[in-house]
Amino acid sequence: MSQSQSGRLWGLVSVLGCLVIWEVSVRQLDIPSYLLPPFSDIVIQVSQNFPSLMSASAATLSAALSGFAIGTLAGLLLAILLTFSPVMRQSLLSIIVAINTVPMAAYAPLVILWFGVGMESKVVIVACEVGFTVLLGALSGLAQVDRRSIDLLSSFGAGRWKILWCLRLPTALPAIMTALRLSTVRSIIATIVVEMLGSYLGLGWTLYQSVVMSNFLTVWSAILLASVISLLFFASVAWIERRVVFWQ
Amino acid sequence: MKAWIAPIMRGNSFRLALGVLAMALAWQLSVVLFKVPVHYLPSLPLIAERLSHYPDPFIAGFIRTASEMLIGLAVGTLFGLLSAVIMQRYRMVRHLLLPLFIISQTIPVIAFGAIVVMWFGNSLLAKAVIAFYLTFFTITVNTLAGLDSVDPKQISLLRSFGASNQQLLWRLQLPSALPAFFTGLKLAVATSLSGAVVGEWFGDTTGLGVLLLQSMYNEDTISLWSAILLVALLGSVCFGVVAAIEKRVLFWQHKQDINH
Repeated sequence: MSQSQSGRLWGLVSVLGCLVIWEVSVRQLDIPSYLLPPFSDIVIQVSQNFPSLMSASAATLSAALSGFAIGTLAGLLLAILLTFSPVMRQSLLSIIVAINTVPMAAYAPLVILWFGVGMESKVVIVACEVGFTVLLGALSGLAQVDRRSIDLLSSFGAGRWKILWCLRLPTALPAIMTALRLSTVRSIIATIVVEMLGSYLGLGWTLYQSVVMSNFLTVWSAILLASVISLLFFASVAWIERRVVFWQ
Repeated sequence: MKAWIAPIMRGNSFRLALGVLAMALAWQLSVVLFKVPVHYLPSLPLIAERLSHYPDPFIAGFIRTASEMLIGLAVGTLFGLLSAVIMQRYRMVRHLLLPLFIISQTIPVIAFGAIVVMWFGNSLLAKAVIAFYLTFFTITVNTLAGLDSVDPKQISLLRSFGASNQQLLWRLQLPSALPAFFTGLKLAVATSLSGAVVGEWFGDTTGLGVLLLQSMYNEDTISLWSAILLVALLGSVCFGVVAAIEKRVLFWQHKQDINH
């Protein structure tokens, strides 16, 4: 425990150290602010434009969270369905892996054409991105169950739903939670990517506008906010993971 | 960290080809039977016709995106391997660097992309940097996990025979870390491609990402699907090459697969 605590302390020291080096070197070397503004300027910019940046963050976060929820549900349901029928699992899995080799970003322009520049296109992309990750994680988790445990439970007269609920899902839980944790940052980034392509709300839109208008302090402040939101989202899912998967 | 995905990533190529074929068939059938408007899903012959009539931008884009991706992937892999080895050797470096690496991955790279393009100019290099940025972390984390998983008893044994740090690394640690490294490399293929594609959205003139963007603005779904399929081709060829190398290098794991 003390080992991990000291590790965390060093991590904090290192992050703070980097921020200090950033601040001092930019000020000392007179680096033009369009290349790299000092960190304090970015923080000041965030506080000055707090209301507008907050509403942009709220739009991004709500799209990301809705997509995250839909993707998680869809991924889990499909994984459970595929576990029940091994034939479907074999044939569908190769297709799923094939679709998954194409980065989601490539589908983003298409999804914007299909669903418009509103919130739907962001939710769809995030749901797909999260859905695939959760599906693959849950499938490998559900498959890790010891055959003998299943036989034991069925010999006591447990049905497939009982086995799913009491054995398969608990066994798969660590893999599912890992997939969820990995999906957090991806969902935020995917939302921002689609927002940059076409939107009138959100951090991605703010970023795009500020790049076009060469307002680089705003670019950096949007990056800072996006990064903070991703970290918070990641940390909260990791916290839930530690609670739910307490035995690991 | 990514071992959870490993059991199903080892798909065999025959089944994958079958899946792709089935998907193409389902696509074509649904377009013909349900008369899906071209705006949503153009039929495959239409896409083939577009590709054969105007091949130049697609070929140029493919080569451009492929080189951006491969440079980023190569440098990212080297950097990831090196940083993992150093972090494994020196605990202090790991405590200091790993948190920074994790934070670096929460920065939306597309936003960062605008700044990267400003730093490195609107060049191939800028896109390769973005692809690199998206690759190295996966490699570092997976290799590190692989290096950590080496049995301490084996290390003690080699030590007792007087093995140096270097011999330990080459003879025991790196070979043991190879499976995890390849898992990371296969994931990195997809992310490096996505970095190259997204990086091109900042006002470039050639590349598959550019074609995607232009077709979106022109609402030209045929070109859009052509570009998507080319991205898919690029991604799956690279994935296939890495999987083939993995099979060669990890011959002992391959044998286990057959036994199962």
